[in-house]
This record gives sequence, structure tokens and C-alpha cells, in this order.
Amino acid sequence: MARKGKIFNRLGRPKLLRKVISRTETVVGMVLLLSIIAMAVWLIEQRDHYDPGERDIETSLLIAQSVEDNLYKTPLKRWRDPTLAENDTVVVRLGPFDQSLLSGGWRAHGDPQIFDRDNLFEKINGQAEQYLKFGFEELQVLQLEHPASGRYVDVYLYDQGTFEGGLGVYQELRGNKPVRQEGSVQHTTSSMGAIGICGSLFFQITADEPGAMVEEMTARVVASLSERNIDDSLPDGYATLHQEMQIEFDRIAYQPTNVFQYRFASNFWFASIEGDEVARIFIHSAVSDAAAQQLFEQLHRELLEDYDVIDSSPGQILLKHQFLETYFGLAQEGIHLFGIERHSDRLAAEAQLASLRLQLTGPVPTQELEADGGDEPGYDTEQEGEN
Amino acid sequence: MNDAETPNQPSNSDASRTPRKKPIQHPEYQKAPMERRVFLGRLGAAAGLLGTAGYLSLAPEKWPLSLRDSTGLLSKPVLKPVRLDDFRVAKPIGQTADVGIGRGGTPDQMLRKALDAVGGVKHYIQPGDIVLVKPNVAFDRAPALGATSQPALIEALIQMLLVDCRAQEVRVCDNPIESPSDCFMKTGIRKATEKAGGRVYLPDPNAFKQLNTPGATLIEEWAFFHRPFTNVDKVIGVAPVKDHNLCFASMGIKNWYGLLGGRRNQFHQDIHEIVSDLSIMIRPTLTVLDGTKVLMENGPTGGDPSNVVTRDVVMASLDPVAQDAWAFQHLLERDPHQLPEYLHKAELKGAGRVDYEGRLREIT
Repeated sequence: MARKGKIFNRLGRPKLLRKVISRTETVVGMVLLLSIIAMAVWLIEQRDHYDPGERDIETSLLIAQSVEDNLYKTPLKRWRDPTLAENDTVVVRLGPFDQSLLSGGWRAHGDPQIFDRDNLFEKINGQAEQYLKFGFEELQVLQLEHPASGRYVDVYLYDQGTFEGGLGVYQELRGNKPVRQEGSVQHTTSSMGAIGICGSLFFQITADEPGAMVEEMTARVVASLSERNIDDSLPDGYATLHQEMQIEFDRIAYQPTNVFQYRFASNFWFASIEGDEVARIFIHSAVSDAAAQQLFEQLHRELLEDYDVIDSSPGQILLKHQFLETYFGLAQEGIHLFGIERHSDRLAAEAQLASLRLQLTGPVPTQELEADGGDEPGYDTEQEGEN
Repeated sequence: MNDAETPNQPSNSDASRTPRKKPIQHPEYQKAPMERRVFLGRLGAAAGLLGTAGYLSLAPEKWPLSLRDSTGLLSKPVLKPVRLDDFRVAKPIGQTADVGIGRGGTPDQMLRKALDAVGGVKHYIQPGDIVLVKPNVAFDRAPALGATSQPALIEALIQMLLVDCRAQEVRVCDNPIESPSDCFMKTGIRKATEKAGGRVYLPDPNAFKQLNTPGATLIEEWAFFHRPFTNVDKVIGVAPVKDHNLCFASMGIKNWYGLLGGRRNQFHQDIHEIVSDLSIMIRPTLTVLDGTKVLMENGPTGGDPSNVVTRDVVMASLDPVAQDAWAFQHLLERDPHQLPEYLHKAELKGAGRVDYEGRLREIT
């Protein structure tokens, strides 16, 4: 006989013991079963579409009940030398920078940072090579801040070792922007600072925002640099182009290595030709006549890969590019190697080459010209051919 | 005299005993002298122990089982390299675009358009995800100079992740060689991150682990800024588009260079190889290219705002190679036939495809 209240027989095969199950039990059982099924369906449905927002507490309620979390604050303030007080009276070791920069509410953030050839990448990773190839020696960076306004200005002072090193970097970074002269400083300003050179020093000024304060600080840095005593001696190539040929500073460029993309060619001076955007004259001073002649022959040999010879005489060749049809003139006289590249007009290229020769070697004696067989030797054949 | 008092018989009475000098403490103890065999056995065991200890400690380093370590190098801990998860998410079914371009409006609007073009950010970021955002904070330069990611875009992205996607946490990290705190402050990334509710992770020497990258040429095992990647579910790179002195262009793939540790500057000797390695070092969920301010020349540091061109483009991509190829041509305005070598190398390594034709979607 079935015991009252016990539905299943647990001892053996599951077997319904009661013959009558009340309606209430049936209804409750069905409700529970349906609830479980509903929950399972809901869980399966929600698994990939969980939205914690459905159970979020109202943001306004959270804000009302929140407290400031002071457990951990990331140390993101700029590091400042703890020995420096908060006022301007503390003496900061300014190094090569002028004390006049620290006035009008400006102060140094600390001593200048110093970088050399071995760790320049720590400051300008990815761009260090651009300075190293021009003979970089040392970088000093002074960080200036104006606490009242929150502005800051960083002054980078690169010692490139030589005038041509500083000029090389400056011309690469300047592009076609105009040059301003102030004393011994040539510089190019922007709305947030400037770049420029002063002897072998290349400087860069960058600020956080444009504004009058930045312009004023830029002018101050330029003025302080222009008062420096710098070595007046100029490299031969630059002196020839700038002083003897009266070519403006902003048209002169220097390339230390890989000239014309040849590894053996280095230390060339270039100057753009007025009225021509692509043609350039160039000068190189070798250590000896023999070195100059060797370089001339090497260049001659390599250039024949891309150029056809138009005219050739001892110590001078005129070439024409096989595809671009531009002219390349190359000459050697004593220790000087000089020429013109990428000129579209043959006669103008020859005239430039002659002018360069005149500047470097002085006027050719009349007897020498006559002995060579008259004017423009060797051009007739080619001119006929072109016609 | 009775029996009890007879001296030859023990008495039960303590008082009748002859007093001893020392009381017997353990009367139950019975002497057990060691047998010779046992003694020799124990002696042998002790000698064996001593000999073994002597050998282990005094034997030359190269002898087997020797514990000698005169240089200390043998006891140097060997760091087990880790590997990064693949953070990519399959694009929505039916979507063909791998590269999304958003044009016009605020940085927030451009970003939304770009993300919508590749299926919408909610498809890639699930509620409860921990998301790592990697901006370019390489230099302590103002954002207007275009050398770093724009803070406005970072802020918009973090807000989108936290509010729209219900991400659990958004981490922002980079490893600039310069002072990291200065870089994060001057670029405005710190302020933007904190304002939006993200958290900045700065590098420290203990935050790095050796990362194993199968297939990489130069960085098969290399120090990697790993701490922010702990338990991360999704990774998004946010890179500026800029000229680069060595590799011609720094865009989405080059941005991962900022996670390397060690003396990574040596890789500049072979810049294209290292950038192509970066393309397989990490497989991000999304790569966002910030074309709002493009540094056209004098990169990567810049310094002159006139070198920066303002454009109204933000890109989001599942294929960083295609994205960089498009940006090189259209944002940096360079000759598409002179793509940086690293893009071709990255394609060979399986990071993506240079040919973006038919895989772009632009929303204006």
C-alpha cells in the first residue's frame, strides 16, 4: 500500500506510488516546470547578448552616492627636480642658454637635458639619423614654462660640430620657407616656434600653442643666440658660392654623404639657380689634385650608366640623361670638382659651367683659348646631330 | 628482628632503603648496545650523504648534477617568453569592406562613420570587455604639431567604448623613450584619457616581458610592454599619419613600435624589416588611423605647424596593410608606386594585402 505523501518509490524502479495527485500539486508542478524552461530559454537567448545596462543603477544615483577614490592616482605630473623651489629665485644651471630667457614669468623646468651621439635617439627616436649624418655632437634641451599662463616652450640646441653640419640640417628641415637674418643667426619662424642656425649650432623652438607669448620667447632666444661669439671661418665651398658668387644663403645647401646617390661622393655644396626650380650647381673641394681627379673619373664612369656623353674634353664632360633629357656638366680643376645638374637647357648649362670655372680658377688666358681651336670646341658635331 | 627488617631482603618501605646519590630517572630504560653491522651501515650512509653533498657543491660546473655556479649565470632566471592572443574579430556576415573611411564633421563623427563602415564598433567590442587603446605618444610635442595621436580622437574613442559598448575598462598605453609622463602630458593624451574615463598605463622596468612572435625576423623574442595586456580582450591602435625620416611614412603598423622595450633604436638599421615584423607581432581588433592632422614632412618629430595639413578623415580597418597603403597615397599624397618596402614585406608575412581595391567603404 502506498504511503501517503510519497510520490516515487526510491528503492527500486521509479514508480508512481500514489494513484491520485491533487490538482494543486499538478498546477504547482507545471508552473515550476514552465518557470525553469523559461529561465533556460532566457539564459540561452541572453548568453551572447548580455547587456549589463539592463541591471545598471541610475547614473545620477551613483554620482549622488559616490565618494572620491583617492586610493591610487597615476603619477602623471611632469617630473621636476625636487631641489628646485617654486619661485624664480633659484639658480638653474642654464648651460649654453642665456639667463635673459628667464624673465617675464618664464622659468626653467629644470637643468637642460643633455644628449650625445650615443643617446640622441632617446630624445628624437626615428629622427636622430638626420642629425647624425651631419656630424651631430651634442644636444641640449631647455624646457621653459610660464606657470601663470600654463604655456611652455622647449628650446633644442644641437651642436653639429661645423657650420656645414648646422646648415645641412637647417636646409633639410626648412624646405622652401623664407629665411630671416638677425646678426649671425639665420632662422625660419613658425606660429609655434622657429628653427635656425648660428655657426655650428642648429636650434629648434617648439611651444604648446601659438600666441604672442611664444613669439616673444622665440624672439628672445634668437636675440640671445645672435649675441654669441661664433667662429667666422667659412668652408671653401660655401664661401665660393655665397661670398664670391653672391648666391643668397637660402639657395645654398650642403650634402655630406651619398651625393648623387653614390657612396664614394661626399661633402658637396649645392646652390639652386635663380629662375630654375630643379637645376643646381655644385662644388666639391678635395684634399688634393689627385683625389679630385680620381673622384672625377669615378663619377664620370658611374654617370655613364644613365647619361649619354654630349661633349668631352680633358677635365670636363657634358652629359645628357637618357630619359629625362636633362644636362649634367662635370668638371675638375685642381682640387675643385664642380658642375651643374638637372638643367634643361644645354647652352645655359655650359654657360653656368664656364662661370663656375671662372670663379674657381680665374680667367682663362686668351692664348689658351686660341690653342684649343676657337670658341665652343667640340660642340659642332652634336649640335648638327640634334638638328 | 622480623623478616621485614632482614637486610638481604628488599623492603617495601622507602624509608628502609639506602639513600642513593642520584635518583634513577627512567628505571624502565634498558641498555641496547649497537651492533657492529648497524654501526657500519649508518657510517656508510653518513659517508654517502657527505660525499654527495661534497660532489654537488664542489664538482666543476660542467660535471653532471654539479651545483657549482661561480659566475652566477647558471642561477640566472630564465624568462619564459609569452605570446599575445589574436585579438581579431570576424567581420559581420555579408560585409565586404575591410577598410572604413569616415569623412566630415567632428573627430567623434568621423570616427563613428569609419567604424560604421566596417560594421560598427558594437560588433567588435562586447559589453564587459577590457579594451586596450594604443595611441602614438612617442614625443613630448603639442598635438598641433602632428607627431602624435590627436587627443580629441582618443577621448571620443574611449567614450564610445565605455558608454556605447559598455566596456569594462579602457586602458591607454605607450612606451615613449622620452619621459613617458612628459609625453602623455604634453600631447594631451593623459587629459583626454582621464576625462573620458580611461586609465593610462605608464611603462616601468617590471612592466615588460619577453614576447615570442613566430615568423618575425628581428623580434622573434623581444622585450614587450606587456603589463597593460593582462586579461585584455580587445586591442585598438590609434595612429597618426606622418612622414618618417627613415621609413618614409609612419602609420598604423609602425605605431606598434611603441610597445617594444630594450634597445629598440638598433632596429632603425633595418627599419622596413622591423615594421613588417610589427605587423605580425600583434593582431589588433581594429586599427584606427587619425587623418585629422597629417604631418607631411620633417617627420617623425615635426616641430613646425606649417608641415601639418588638416584633413577630415578618420579610418578604421581590419587590414592594417591595406589601410596604410591607402593612407600613404591619399593622406600623405605620395606616389602609390613607391609604397614603403615594409608594406610589401608585411603582405608576405601574412599581415594583410596592399591591394585595397574593392575592400573600401567610405561614409561622408
